[in-house]
Amino acid sequence: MLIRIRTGYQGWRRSPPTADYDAIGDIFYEFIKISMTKFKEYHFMSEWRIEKHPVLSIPETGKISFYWNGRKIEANKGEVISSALFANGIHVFGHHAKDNFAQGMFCANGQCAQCAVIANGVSVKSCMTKVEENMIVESIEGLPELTVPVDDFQFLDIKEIETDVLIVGGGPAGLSAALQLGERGVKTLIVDDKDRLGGKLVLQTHKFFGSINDCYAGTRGIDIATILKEELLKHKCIKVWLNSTAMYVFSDKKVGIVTDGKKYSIVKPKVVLNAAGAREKSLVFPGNTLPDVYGAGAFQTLVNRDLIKPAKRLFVVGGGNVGLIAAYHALQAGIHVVGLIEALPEVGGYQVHANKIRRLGVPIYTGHTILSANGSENVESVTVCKIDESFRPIKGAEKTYECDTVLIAVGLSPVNEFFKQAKQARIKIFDAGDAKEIAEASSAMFSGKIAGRKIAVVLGKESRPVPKAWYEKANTLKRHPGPVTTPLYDSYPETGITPVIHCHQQIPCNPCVSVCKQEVIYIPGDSLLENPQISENECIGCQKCLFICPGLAISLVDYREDPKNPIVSLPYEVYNYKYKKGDRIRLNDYEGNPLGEAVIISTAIKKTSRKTQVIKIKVPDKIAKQVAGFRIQKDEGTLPKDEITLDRISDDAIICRCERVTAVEIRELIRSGIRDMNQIKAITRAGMGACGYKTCENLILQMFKEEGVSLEDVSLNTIRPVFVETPLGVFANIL
Amino acid sequence: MHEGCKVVIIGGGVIGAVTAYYLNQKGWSVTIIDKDRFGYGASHGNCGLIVPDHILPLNSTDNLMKGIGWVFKKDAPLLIKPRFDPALAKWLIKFALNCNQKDILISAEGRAAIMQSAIDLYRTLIIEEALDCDWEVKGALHIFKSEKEFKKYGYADALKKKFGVSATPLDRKSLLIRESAVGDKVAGAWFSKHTAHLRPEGLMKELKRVLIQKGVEIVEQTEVTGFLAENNQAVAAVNGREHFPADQFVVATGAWAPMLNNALGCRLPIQPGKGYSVNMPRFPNSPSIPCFFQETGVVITPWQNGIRLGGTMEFSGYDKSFNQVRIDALLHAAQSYLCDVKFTDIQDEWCGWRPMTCDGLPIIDRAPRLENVMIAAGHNMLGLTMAPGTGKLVSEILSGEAPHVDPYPYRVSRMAS
Repeated sequence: MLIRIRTGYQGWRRSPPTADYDAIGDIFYEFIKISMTKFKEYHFMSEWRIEKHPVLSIPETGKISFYWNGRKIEANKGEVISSALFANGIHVFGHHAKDNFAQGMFCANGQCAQCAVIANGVSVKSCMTKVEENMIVESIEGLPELTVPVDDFQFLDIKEIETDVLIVGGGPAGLSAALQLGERGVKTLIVDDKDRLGGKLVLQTHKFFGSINDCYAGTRGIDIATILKEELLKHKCIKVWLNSTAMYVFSDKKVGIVTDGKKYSIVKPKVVLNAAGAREKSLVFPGNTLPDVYGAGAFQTLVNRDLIKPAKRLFVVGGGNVGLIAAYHALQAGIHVVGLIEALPEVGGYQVHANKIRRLGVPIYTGHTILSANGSENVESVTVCKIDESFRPIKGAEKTYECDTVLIAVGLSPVNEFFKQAKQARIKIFDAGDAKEIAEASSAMFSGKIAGRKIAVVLGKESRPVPKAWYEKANTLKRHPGPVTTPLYDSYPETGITPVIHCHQQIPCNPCVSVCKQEVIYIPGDSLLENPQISENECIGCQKCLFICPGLAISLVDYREDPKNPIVSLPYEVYNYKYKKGDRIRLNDYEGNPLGEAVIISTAIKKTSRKTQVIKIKVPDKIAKQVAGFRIQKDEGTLPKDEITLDRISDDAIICRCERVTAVEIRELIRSGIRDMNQIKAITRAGMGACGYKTCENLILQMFKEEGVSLEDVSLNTIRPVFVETPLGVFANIL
Repeated sequence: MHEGCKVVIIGGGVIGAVTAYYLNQKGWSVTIIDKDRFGYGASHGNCGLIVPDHILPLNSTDNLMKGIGWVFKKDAPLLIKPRFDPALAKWLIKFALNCNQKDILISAEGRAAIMQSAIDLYRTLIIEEALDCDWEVKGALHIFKSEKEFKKYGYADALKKKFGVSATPLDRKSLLIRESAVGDKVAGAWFSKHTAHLRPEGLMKELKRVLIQKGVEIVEQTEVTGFLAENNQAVAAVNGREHFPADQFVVATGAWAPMLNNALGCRLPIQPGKGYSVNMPRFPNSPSIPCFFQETGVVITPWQNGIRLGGTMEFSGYDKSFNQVRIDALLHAAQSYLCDVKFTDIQDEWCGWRPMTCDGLPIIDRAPRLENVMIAAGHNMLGLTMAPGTGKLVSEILSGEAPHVDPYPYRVSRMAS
């Protein structure tokens, strides 16, 4: 049927239309629309909480109220003080006594004391203390007043417990080791300072790499935590203490443990496994201690555990897997990622991770370093700069981006003070996971498994030694990514239906091969590392590879209906940026280069897809195989502003954030010939603060290196008890 | 290749012509329909400048304030004819709303992307097809009379630097040495090497020759008034008497694009911005390279056998009247920058409509109601510069290839939000 569409310019109306009267209505309509959305934003929506998440479900918790500096504000039941404050848009928790500099959250992990506040008269770490109804919380301005001594108190007995194995840390490594021990009936105690098991697994909403059989590849980290926990509950011989921190290893081979911040107990283990994980490295640049500059791990805690939206515009420093994943988690939480920088010429993490966020519209600047975070109380912008081959900033290549939070993801360092101390006390100690060697969580699980088996052998519960194949697997899993190859699209068939693989780097990962029942996708020689390839078998379009691929790097091209305009299925899991049938999307190739636009013909989430959505589009055959994703981040004025240049960068970066010691002070001491870190501590107080050398040790060592001092000449800081600051009364078990 | 696939291009301006060229290259069978004569709209009387460094849109708070001042002056660079026109009012409101740093940056990125390889594409086109159109790449001067404005241009240039199209400043002394045609009242100038110039009517004539030679059908004196449609697909372009059936359609009607609003199913926010130009023979001591007289918005382009002076912006709807005051203002402005010149020997005067959008970006997108109709219009004052980029992009989208620039900034729907 032919329909004649009304035309605007017809024969009888020779003069062009000058007045378009509908436009008056338009102006009015748009005005009403804008004011309605603004009104809604201000009055109904919680700006700082995640209300929709593609992977995590938002639990219904009751609301309670508490007081912040005399103002009554709302919090969710059971959340920690720092998250409740962030949910109310409060990022400054106090001011430092030394220079009145704003203090805020930093590690979100109970390791530092940056986030300290006064709750009901007692100074506490706000990231570890749960908020209570009508709690009076105040910011710490300068030095807090000492609490009044209590005369009326009561001593309680201190429990002493014996166990075969003590596992410090209930993360992927600790849990995998415990499973090995549980199977053999070894009496095991796991202590973990969080209120749920899984360690950092519970913060990972993305699917894991590796192989399905060895480390649950293709499953989301948070689901792996649940699987491990359920396995663990089957074994009666394993005891779990949550909210419990191992304080110290004493010379009489006993370990002091504080539970819930007040109950002290002593454990006497035969063997100890240190699976305490890692802590994030920091970076020295002006503005590095501003309240909104923190680690990617802290960010993941806020976003994925507490469902807080801590930022609106995020900038990520560091292109390792941690930084790339943090940027991805930010997108899932509905946060705009302004950019990500990496000092090396290529991102250090997996290429598929980087490409995944590139496709979604996050610009990645390689060969860049951070010069400064700018702002007085909060971050207002960040200045970055291109660097030359010797990693020195190039003058004139400074760029300033507007953002409100800067994430530092420049690597991890193992938590090994416990290991060192146990060695000194001559306890049998093993280590596993990141505490042993920094690698992926899949590798941590495997190294936990090996450590568990080793301990079983030591305790005589297992006669066979650790199989050689396990070590080989462990080595494969922690392999660094290989070189990137260029894609070859000609090898794919152009009839029927075919998967197209957009993963062009050797990484230890193969779930796509494992799920393909038709054996269309295979890896030559069954190696875990090689790139998957397409065989001549016929694909049935089951989409299983789409759902399992952690890099979302497989698309399905269906030529059956229309060979000229095949249907392409794309996996998608950031659907808080919602797309429905009929929407237009901006297509990308695997690296995020634009390929034009297309209209969505269907969207679907299947039960088997495990929260991955499939978006179908029809595209011309010429580009069908290249389409790998689509852009969701809106174009913004992402161009940098001219604000801060290299000449105007001052050298007032902070090294010791607890005592606020600047880089200049320490550099002068090193230049004057001091080689003993204890001496630096005595002169400047660097390392004397609440965190106990955890953040600044690496930075000071780095500084020695920069000044050309060999680390062999440097005498390290003497470790003193205890690892985490604890009120003295706790050791006496005063109620 | 697309042998046998037919495309109808509505509008025989430079955008339509270059689009036809690229589509023809990819094997399409192309028909161009023009309501008047091929190449006789804004593509005819413009000043023939290829300026990929003009990445900043007119939207800026500075221009806004100046514009308000100019409204009451008859010979100012901008004239808005006071009358009741809600579409223009809406356009001006949107223009004003776009005068913020964020939107300016978005526009700048989009403009830079489509113009980035303009000079190279023209060079290839002109050499390959041996087009005789006085093509020269000599750069251009942006001349200032006021010291303040001269310095201010430095901010704009800093932004341009990020796109790799920066200029070099010349103070008064070095400017006078470099360009003897300039009078001594000037404060200084910025020299931009990223500028080429050609004879626009020559280019159009040559393009017509090449296109006909390659088998492109050109239908003149035929005004398309709508489309015959079937299930969101246009079947033919119609003009009352005739039908032009095709597989794909391109609307490249420049300032006239809003005439097809109803047929396209959207209200294109394009306003005709009238510009004037005058031709004259070369005079003694005429400038050697194109010069922008910045404060007045007037530009002079010297060719081997003539000179064209153009500029001014007049929002008076589709009003064809010729305003002598504007021509005089044009001549007067140029005289004040040049050294002892009296323009007496004026050959012809011309006026035409530029397709102005409220954010300075063109519209290159499929029509919302008709899936196989591409809109490629609204190129503001840069039709000539953006033509190769636009033509290439349109041909890539229609042929289903990966586009060389992201077409997202040029979508129709951006105006609705």
